[in-house]
Amino acid sequence: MSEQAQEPILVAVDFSPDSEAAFIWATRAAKRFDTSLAVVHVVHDPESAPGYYAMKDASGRLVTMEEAARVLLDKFLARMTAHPQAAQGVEMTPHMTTGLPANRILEIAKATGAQQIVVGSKGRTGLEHLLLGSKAERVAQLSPIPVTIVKRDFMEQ
Amino acid sequence: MPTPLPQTLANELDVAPLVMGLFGGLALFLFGMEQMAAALKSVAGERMKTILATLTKNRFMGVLTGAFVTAVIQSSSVTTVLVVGFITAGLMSMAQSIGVIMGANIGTTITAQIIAFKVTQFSLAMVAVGYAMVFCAKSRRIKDHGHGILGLGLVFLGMSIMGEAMQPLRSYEPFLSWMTQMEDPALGILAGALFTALVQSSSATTGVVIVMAGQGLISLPAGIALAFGANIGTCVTALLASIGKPREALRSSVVHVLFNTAGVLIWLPFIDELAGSVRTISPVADTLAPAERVAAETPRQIANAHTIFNIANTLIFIWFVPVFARVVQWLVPDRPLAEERKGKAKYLDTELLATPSLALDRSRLELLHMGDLVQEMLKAILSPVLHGGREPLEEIRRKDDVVDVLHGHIVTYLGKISQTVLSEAQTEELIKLLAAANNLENVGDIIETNLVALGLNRIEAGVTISPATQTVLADFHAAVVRSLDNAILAITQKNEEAAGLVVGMKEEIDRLADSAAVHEARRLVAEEPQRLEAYTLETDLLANLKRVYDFSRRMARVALPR
Repeated sequence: MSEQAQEPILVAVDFSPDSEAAFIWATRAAKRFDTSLAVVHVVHDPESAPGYYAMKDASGRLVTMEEAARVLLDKFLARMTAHPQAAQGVEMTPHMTTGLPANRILEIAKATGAQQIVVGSKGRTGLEHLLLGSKAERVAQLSPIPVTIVKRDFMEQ
Repeated sequence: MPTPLPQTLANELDVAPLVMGLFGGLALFLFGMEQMAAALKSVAGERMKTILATLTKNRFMGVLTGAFVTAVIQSSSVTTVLVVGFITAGLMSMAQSIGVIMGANIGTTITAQIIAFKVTQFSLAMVAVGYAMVFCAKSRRIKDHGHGILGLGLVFLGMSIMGEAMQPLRSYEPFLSWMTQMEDPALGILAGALFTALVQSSSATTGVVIVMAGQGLISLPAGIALAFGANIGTCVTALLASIGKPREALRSSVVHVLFNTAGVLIWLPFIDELAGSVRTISPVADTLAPAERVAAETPRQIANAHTIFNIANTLIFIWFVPVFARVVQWLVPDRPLAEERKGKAKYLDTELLATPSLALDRSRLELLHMGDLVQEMLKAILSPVLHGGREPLEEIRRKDDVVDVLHGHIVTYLGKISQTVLSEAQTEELIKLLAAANNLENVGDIIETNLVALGLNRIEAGVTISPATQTVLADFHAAVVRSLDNAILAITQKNEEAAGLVVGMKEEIDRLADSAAVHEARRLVAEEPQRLEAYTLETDLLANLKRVYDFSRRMARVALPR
């Protein structure tokens, strides 16, 4: 195995159907290149639908966004590693941090020495795209390493 | 009915009673507002906080929640500072906060509406009733309500004193000509913003403006311009509260500034139209002479303009929340990840000390932050102790400096919490967190002092550890890492299952230690250079890792129910 092949593939997830597709694609790529996955979640509440992380624990105590995100990430990984379309037996390391998604994804890619970044895309169009752009596009614009943008249609193929 | 206005203008003024009345009245007003907000926070604060943090799932709910909470606690500054605290605590996002901030602007107009009712003649009665409740009642709740009434009474008393002190100004020509300059919107807005920023209360500004209008000292357009300025000046409080806080909190305050400033700018050309429409909808006193009529009608007109302005702005800007969020993310970018992790307490917010339950949550989060660093040290230490150069060992040492700083911050913060009024359960939790912080610091010290020293000794003595021994030590190390992981989980997330796992690992740790000891004894007789030095290093490493487990176990035990 070459040294290059040891570098992980970074997949950024926000638990949406798009990032499920990205995750599945990334597990298959990691299997093919015989490397590991760095699964990154950046805790960042969406401006268009705030309150995503608001949740309470069993005793009714409000949990912090980071605690809620940890729970969501664990559930996501448990669900998606067992997904019939995901490649099995891929080593993966979860990473969670807070901040603005595009910048943090790039910082973690650098810190983990990732060989490529995989992200899902919602595919905003029209005025919404003009005003808000896309996180996936921003990652692709700023990244010094290859970026693969996966659309959810990929899973239906 | 207002006092009849004087017919002649004077050029001389007795300054001393004016200054004493004005500043004394303002001090009473602000003190009353503070008393009232503190009492309302105490009566409804906990419920308001839960409402704030849970009912902000979309921006429209955020607006309603912000308006309701602000109307109840009678201070938009308290709401915005609470929001900053929530964001710092990780309980609310900047995206959630925007709706709340817009709502706070609406909620604060209720204060101006109340002030515009001329209830100043009841101020002393309210002070007396409020004080009697505070003095006589045994129940904390009734005392709090008493403080609220006393505070409101002081607000009105302060206004009444300011109003009386200002009476001579009604005939003082230089002042009247100066006040007409306030009709220049830019000047009025600037004066309103500066005064609000100075006294840290937009209600004080609108209160003073309404008092002045009641004395006939100020026209409606000038009153509107000053109230606009108050909307900008009030952002300073939240901006100050967000200094040194996480970027999300700072972003929220900057959104507040952007929103309130943009709101004023778009209304600037329409002050006269706004004045015209509030004249139409506000009550008229057509039985009075013209000058008295203006003095009687203007206070309510200013309050109504303030309300319409804030509601209209929210209705306009609510559709642009994501755009505001994008702009502010560009204005306030993230700090680099590496910089964020350098020995700075991320969560210990002194403003939350007044709410021990939140402050304890913050300490738990900071403990998780500290625990993550100690865990990183523990995971990273094995490899450089067994092989490799000095640099990784020095890196671990540097990390412990950060751990020590965080430990100091956490202990100090817990010390401050202990000085507040705590329930029995909160006291118990505080003691647990303190013990956990000390245990984690001890683990950090074992790694930094003993284990790093072992690695440095190995390098100096040129000792090599055999692959078989490395495997045995790695197994033991992995079990200890797992125990610390679970112990941190047990404390920081009150996870009893994880605590049980750590305590239950004792047998596994003993068994691994025994089999490692047997392996060591067998290896002692092996024909290898520096066998004795290697043996000493390996047994010392095992003993220190076992101590780390002991501290993990101590941490886990306190997390279990007694």
